[in-house]
Amino acid sequence: MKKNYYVFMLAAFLMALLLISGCSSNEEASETPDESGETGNSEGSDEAAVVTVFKSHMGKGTKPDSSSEHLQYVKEKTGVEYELMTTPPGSDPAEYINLMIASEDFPDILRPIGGVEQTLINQGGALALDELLPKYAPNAWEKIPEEAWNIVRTASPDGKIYYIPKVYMIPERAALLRKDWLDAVGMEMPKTLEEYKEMLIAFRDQDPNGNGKQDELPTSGREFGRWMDHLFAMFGVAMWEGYPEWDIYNGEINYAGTSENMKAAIAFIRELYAEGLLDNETFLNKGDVWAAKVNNNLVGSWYHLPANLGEKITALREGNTEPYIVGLPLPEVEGFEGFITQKSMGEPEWIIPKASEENAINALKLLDFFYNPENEEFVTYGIEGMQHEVVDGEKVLLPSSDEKPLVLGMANFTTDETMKVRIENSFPEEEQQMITDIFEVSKADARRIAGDGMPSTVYEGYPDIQSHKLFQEYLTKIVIGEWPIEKFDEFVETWNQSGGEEVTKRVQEWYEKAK
Amino acid sequence: MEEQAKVLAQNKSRKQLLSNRLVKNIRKHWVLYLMILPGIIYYIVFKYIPLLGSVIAFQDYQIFNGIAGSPWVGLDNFIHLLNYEDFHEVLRNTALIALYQLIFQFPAPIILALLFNEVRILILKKTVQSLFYLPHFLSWVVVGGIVFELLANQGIVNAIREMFGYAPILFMQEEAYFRTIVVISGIWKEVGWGTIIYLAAITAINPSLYEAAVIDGANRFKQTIYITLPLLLPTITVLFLLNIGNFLELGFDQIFNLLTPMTYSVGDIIETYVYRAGVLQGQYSLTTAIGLFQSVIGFALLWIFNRLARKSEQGLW
Repeated sequence: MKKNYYVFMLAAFLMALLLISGCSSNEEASETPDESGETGNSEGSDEAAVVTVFKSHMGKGTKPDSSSEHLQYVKEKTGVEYELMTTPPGSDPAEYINLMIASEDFPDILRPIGGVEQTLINQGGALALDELLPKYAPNAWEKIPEEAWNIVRTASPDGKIYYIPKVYMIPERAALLRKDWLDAVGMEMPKTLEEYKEMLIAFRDQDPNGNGKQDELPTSGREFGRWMDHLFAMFGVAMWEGYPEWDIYNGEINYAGTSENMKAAIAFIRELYAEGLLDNETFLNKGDVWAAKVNNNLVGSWYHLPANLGEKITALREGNTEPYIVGLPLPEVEGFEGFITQKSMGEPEWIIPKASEENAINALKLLDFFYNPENEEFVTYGIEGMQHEVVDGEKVLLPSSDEKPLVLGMANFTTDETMKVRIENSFPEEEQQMITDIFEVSKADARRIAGDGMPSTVYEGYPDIQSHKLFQEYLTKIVIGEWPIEKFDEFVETWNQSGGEEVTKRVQEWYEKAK
Repeated sequence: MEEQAKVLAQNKSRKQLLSNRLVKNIRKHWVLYLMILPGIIYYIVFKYIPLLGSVIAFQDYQIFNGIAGSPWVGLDNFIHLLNYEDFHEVLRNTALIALYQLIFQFPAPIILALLFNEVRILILKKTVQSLFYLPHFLSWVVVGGIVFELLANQGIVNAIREMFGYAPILFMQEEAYFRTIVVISGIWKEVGWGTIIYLAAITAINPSLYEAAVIDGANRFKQTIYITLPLLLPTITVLFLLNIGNFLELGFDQIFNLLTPMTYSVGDIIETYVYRAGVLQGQYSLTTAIGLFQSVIGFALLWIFNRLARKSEQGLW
């Protein structure tokens, strides 16, 4: 009897031990190349190298495994296998990336977010690419203009190239408007601020969505005052998804958040809020809530990515409305010159950690595949049956879905031409003109800001300035009417005192250098 | 002299005796010791070794150079902290919310347990108890979503207000309501779960005490006041002490899921601040300094209250 008891206890103890060790020892496997070796692939004598690529903000789809035809093709061409590493659903990418670095669990190449590239560069954790790039990624090296590389050089203290920049030659974002709503209230496209407001009033009162209820939200935005840039843009405020940017104010490069333009914009937005023209839940709207409002035919004027409109149009159709969406040419505001903020160059896209130096050549080879003009066809259309189908001899892209594997790419290089191709591929014919028109309107209003390509090092030591926390607090409280607009002056003062002045000095020094 | 030597020898042999007894004890109950081993290892690996990492509070920690390669800065991080205006706000918010939780949230399960105890129909009691436990198993992400929905423009609270002709209020963006919402949602979620220990303690009370009280003519209310509550006091004290040790640790999940920029000035607490500055922006040293500060306060409070409790012989140690 007693013996049995001991044996049981021992077994329980061993189980516990097994549990502990089992949870802690599956780390190393991922780094070394796959040795299980699938049966096919006989021509390459060497096992293909595996490159782990970290990328967040993926679209719809499952994570493809190494047997995916798409990746097999890339592997055949480059000798490198693309292994995606991404954030689990619902997690904060900036948090994930910081934890990854803290645990020294480096991918071979990563797409930095939240200014993490500066930590890597300043602490010697990033690999200098000056010599490797022309050799192993000649296509990317050639394709990305010299101007962009120069901006990248200004981002490091030693003037070396530490990352591959994103190039976006056209504005990605646009002020969007429901033309069918505008027709329903019988109005013309607004040309001035006053007309814009009148239009919003009509949206509010005249039931443009025709459901008999006064549930319209003439215009809306998201929590933290994000994604309502159109309301700021009219006043000439450089805004990037709700984060004030740096542009020329008072003859010098300055923070848009503290400019006179900003004060005027906030005063206007405050007015809209008080009259129920701006969704009163704006500052409580999480991304999905905001999207649901647009999709449910409740919002007339908003700010987003025209290239991603497909989903919204589909959702609106499911609700039995036939939307016609146009770009809103920025209404004129007296005394201000409006523009859509465009950042074209120098934003970091790929960085290679020094810890992954050994695999850097493979990582660059993989990267270059996607920049190589010869592969353009494959990069756009992928594999037949997976990403496209052939209809009447022409390749047509299949829509992405949650069940199908993601199409992995690495190039982030958008020009007028590539966008044209993208629109043709991702929208049905009858919508292509609509999307193209939106881009035309946005392009006409867009301007590259002076702070384009500014490195985030300027914020070092002032995280609250970098996170725009102070700005968001004052913006939201003034708009909801808790504080009077006069409080804005207090904000400017506090901002300057809590580090803004020092950061401004650094930005101006950087601008002198980069100009 | 002789006496002293005698005492010393006695002490020595006593020590020896003790260690002998320990060895004997281990031999005899080796299985029990083996069973406690994982627990000890757990504490060493996950609590004591990471404690050593706290030294980065005195460094300008650079993640790529590690603890060995980062420069030492002495108390700079702490000085920065104390001069940092935002930190004062954060500390004030944390202390205030902690205080409210202590005043309103801590007694709630005690009262509820006493009420449960008075329910005589067993099925009813069990059902109600289960219903009260349920919210504990929801994560704050879910509860946060529910709270936002309830208090939204079209939410039930505003719908009721509208019925009586009041204009809707967006509660979640008003400073004035934030702490109340935190306390109420906290009570709603955790009150049922909190009753478990109290209910167990109540069952342990000797029924003869109640019988005696009934004979003395005490009604139900009096029984509760004069028997149940006093006998619960030791349990309450222990739980109170455990609570006070975590005084400044409010729990990140709840506040984070209820916070918006409009309520920063009343709701931004140490944990949410550390998350933003440390985890999202990588300022490891500063946030470690905050964490250390928080622990020291917690320890001091625990020590003070334990002293007080020991006066009535109910301390933790």
